[in-house]
Amino acid sequence: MLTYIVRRLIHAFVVIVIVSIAVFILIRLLPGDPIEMLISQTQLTETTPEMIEALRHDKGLDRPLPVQYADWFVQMIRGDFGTSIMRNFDIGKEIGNRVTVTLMIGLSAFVIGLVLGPILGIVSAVRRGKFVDNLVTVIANIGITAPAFWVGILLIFFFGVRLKLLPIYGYTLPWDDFWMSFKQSLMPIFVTALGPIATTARQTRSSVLEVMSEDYIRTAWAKGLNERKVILRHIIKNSLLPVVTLQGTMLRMVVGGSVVVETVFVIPGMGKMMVDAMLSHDYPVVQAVTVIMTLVVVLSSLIVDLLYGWLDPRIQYD
Amino acid sequence: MKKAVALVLALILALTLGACGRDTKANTQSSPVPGSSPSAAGTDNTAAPPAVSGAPEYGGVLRIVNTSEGATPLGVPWEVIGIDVNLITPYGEALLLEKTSGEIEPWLAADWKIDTTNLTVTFTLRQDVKFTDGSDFNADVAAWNIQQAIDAGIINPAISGVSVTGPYEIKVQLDNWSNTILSTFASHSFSMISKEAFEKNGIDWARENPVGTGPFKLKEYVRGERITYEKNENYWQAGKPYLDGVEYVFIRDVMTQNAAVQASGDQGVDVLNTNSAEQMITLNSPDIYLDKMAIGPVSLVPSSNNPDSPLSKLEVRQAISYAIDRQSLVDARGFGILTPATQFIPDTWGAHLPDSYNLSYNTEKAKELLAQAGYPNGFTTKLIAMPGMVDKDMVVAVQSMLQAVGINVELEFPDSGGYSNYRFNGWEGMLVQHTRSLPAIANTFGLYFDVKKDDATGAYSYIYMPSTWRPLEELYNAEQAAGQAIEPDDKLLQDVHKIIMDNMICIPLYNIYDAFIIKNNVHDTGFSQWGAGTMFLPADAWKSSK
Amino acid sequence: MTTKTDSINAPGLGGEVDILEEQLLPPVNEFRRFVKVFFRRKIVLIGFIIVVLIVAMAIFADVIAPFGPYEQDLHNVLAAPDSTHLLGTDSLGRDLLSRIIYGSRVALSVGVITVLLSAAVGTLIGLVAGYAEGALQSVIMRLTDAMMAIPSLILSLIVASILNRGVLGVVIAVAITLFPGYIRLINGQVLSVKQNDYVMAGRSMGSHKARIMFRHILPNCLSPLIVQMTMMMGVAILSEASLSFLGLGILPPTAAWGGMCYDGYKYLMMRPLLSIAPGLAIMVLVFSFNMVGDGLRDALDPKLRGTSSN
Repeated sequence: MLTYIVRRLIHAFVVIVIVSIAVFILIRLLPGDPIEMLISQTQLTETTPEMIEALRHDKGLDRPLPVQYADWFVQMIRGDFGTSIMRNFDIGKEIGNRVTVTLMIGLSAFVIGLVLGPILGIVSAVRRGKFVDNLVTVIANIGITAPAFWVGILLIFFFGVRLKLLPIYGYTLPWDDFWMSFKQSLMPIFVTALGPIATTARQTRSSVLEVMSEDYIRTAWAKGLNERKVILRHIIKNSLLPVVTLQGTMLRMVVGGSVVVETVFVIPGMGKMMVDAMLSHDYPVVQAVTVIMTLVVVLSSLIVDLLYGWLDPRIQYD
Repeated sequence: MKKAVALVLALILALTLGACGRDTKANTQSSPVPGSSPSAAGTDNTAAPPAVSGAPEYGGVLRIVNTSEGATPLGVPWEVIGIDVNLITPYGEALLLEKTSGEIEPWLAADWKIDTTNLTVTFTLRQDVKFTDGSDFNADVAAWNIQQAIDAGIINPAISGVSVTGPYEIKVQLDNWSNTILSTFASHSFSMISKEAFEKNGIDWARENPVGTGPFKLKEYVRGERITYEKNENYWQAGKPYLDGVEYVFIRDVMTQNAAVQASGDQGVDVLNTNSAEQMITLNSPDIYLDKMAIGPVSLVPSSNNPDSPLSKLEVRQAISYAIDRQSLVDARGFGILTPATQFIPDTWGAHLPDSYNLSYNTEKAKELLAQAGYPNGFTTKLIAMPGMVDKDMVVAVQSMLQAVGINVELEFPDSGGYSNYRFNGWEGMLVQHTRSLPAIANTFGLYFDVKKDDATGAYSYIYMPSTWRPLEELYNAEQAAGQAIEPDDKLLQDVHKIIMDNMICIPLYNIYDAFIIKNNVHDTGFSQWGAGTMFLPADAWKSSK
Repeated sequence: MTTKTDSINAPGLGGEVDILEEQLLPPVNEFRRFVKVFFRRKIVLIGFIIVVLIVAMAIFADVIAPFGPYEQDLHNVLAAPDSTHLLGTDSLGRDLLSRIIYGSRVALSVGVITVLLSAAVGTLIGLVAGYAEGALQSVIMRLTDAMMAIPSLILSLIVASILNRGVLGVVIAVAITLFPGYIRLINGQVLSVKQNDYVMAGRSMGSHKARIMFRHILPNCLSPLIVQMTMMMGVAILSEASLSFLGLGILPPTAAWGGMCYDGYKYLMMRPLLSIAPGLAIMVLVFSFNMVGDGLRDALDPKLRGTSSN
């Protein structure tokens, strides 16, 4: 077990290294130079080539690429993510603030999906063909097929602009102002959770149906145990396995989706930071955010795998 | 299944219909029918709020929407770049103020003397000013601040040094004379900060902890969300400021900005700065007034680095100008705010030329000129839109107008990184660029066309112009003459403008405006009165109680 | 059965199903059974019909649409719906309905090209990995893991801003997030198929490796591949829309649904239809593709057969 975890951690590290190299190279393929961009932000003063070179040197962008990469990566392992080229802020500190916001919304949405998805799926499978089943199926399909930003726009339109029930932008941490935070979070969490709820519900439904058709379930049924017990003990445990594997993908979806959701609702989280940094070619910020997001995904999929083993003792960690 | 599908569909339908039903109502209420309502715009164009009798009232917090991300550490002005500079306004004060018209007024410097023979400017400083840490503002501190800016390389390159000539007097040395040099000292990039606090705590501390002489001091800075300033009780102007605080809220999304202006209470804001005519009209209501100022046209800038391209021919550039129906552009997308740009410099400035220079719309003439230039069947080119400032739909409309005379146009909408790459290093086709008219118009010419004469790579002008392509020779000389005259001279400035228009170096499309959408109970901010360097006077602003 | 490459090169929009039917033609009973299972659920039938209708709409857009997609009327912008413009006009006086009709072309071509491209690349790499074993396989699979660990929208966002924003640029930006999925799928399939007797037999008879891969292994991976491709069609269309929404999608003035949603967003208070209608179009198309995918899975994958029926 321990060796398994160690091996997976090494594996995770390899993934992070690959991702960091890929992002480092990709972001430098963008047309346009951040230094020129930085200079051209001001319309009020003239610029000389010397100024540009001095700035480039100052930001460390005149060094050879491998040196830049190695330096960045080593610093990052030490927990120093460097400084934003465009805005001079400490990236690590900034991410620290923003990751809380993204996780508050992302994790709430993820947990809601994790709880609500299977419940809807099970109910729908047990009441197969009934009204509830159909309703869940249709809603689940809409959840999967509607673009998240569009759902966000609709919600803003009805609950924010027309009915004026909910604030339509911004984010407050719950420990600063709980009621405000709650109101501000409702729509973003709903939009983020929609995909996971829908996907998980669909997956649960079909795996429950599959398990229910197994012989041993029929046997248990025949033995006369009451229906609820059969469902709880056998069906749920067995049908949850594929659902648990799905959660890695769900987390990736939630983390990636933050880009859109935070843009629609103007939430100062990692996703918005990413979009802003992308548009201004702020290399170190894009690199740092991508690596952190990947890290979240990799570590959580490790947790999911361990959970999987806990649920299904047949799996051996060698 | 059917029932469920029906239920969900019915819900969606109801919501959509609800949307449409209210839609017409919303439309009649605010009547933002574009193109038809210059008069509607005229009514809220008043640059003053409804008349208020009596003296300014004390209290209240002024909330201003800021469109930047506001992530720069605020406390070290010479490190603050670009749009973030205006966030310094509440705490930081510069030596001078600059009006929209280009006029200079005293501020932390009570007086100044210019010596054009020895190329010096001598500033006499106010003696009653203290920083918020209690330290004194004097010649030593002022000279130190300016020296920091020189060392950081952000100051006007004409300035070579600064010396202390008395306890409250400093002398700035210039390399060459420029009649717009004073406007440099009005920018908030040269706000004065406490030398004592800086030297005691170091630069890292100073970045996070601004110590200025302004009417407000920093209370809280939440990156990407807001900056809160609170009243400086010991401000050097007795009895001011009136407000208890100033708060900047960072909102980049247009929809959200609109909602914030329309909201009241916690999420409400008092001031929104925008260039979007669409937004000005959308937000038009009896509760707000619009304080706007001209900031020059959006223009097409044909590339000049390829002598074989069709765009290198004057006839082609003229044809392009004739092909553009500026009035229709403005009718469709101007919302009664934007105006057709018939010259590179709008009529707000003295450099504006007589009406005989105005550009006009004539597709026949355009086709004729194209044929003359050897392109009777047109050619293919590209429009590259400046992000942020340029309305995407305008570019699409221009595309179809050029298509009508046979010029086939591809569009490109780069992000700001891609765009600045073009601007610095050259491009093919035409930039759709906001060619800003600065308060001191000589600065505008310098900014866009001041390529160092004998050096192909040159100093970076705001727009890339290779030295091989010149009507620029002539332009450069005229521009130098206008900039180096002892006093700004409209005649000389018009000469520069003429060269630009005669050669169609830029093809102006429509004039845009910098507008401040302000709630009626906010007074004396003077946003449109002060140039981009000064922004506004937070010490004078006040809110009435109703 | 025809080989994989044929279906990849197959032209046309959304023709997956037809190709599939052809491929499954020879054993007549098998084909009948397929059609029967495929259309057993009404919702699949509805989805299938909608897909066919949208394909027809894309092909005959010139005939159906009342106006051209680029036809501007600068003196009639943001008009409310009336008898001439059934859904009103947009910010340049273009007919919204016509733009939605033409937008189906972009949506379908982005969907189809993205899926074909990512499936082709992914399948090829997956086959190589699955068959190569050893070091090469683990290198490929580690790289795949890494690619799949980056949230897909983030990766698309970066790639989209590097490439220019034509249809091809957007297709590549989306395809790059989808192809690792095919590598995993095919790699897994190859591993299990390889154990089968006939592959073993082929091996012992000294067949060439590549020959075994294309002749024996690939056809056996076809069913899950086709199901995956249909499902990914919706994902691709949604990703394009999200990119457009973030301002990195297909360039104006091209009529693309995602971009139209984004442009209409500004007029939400005044003309909500401008963003609501194209969004609805995206939803209906993606929904239909998913239904067809469900049906295909039921009909093609014996393991799942009958479990997700209504």
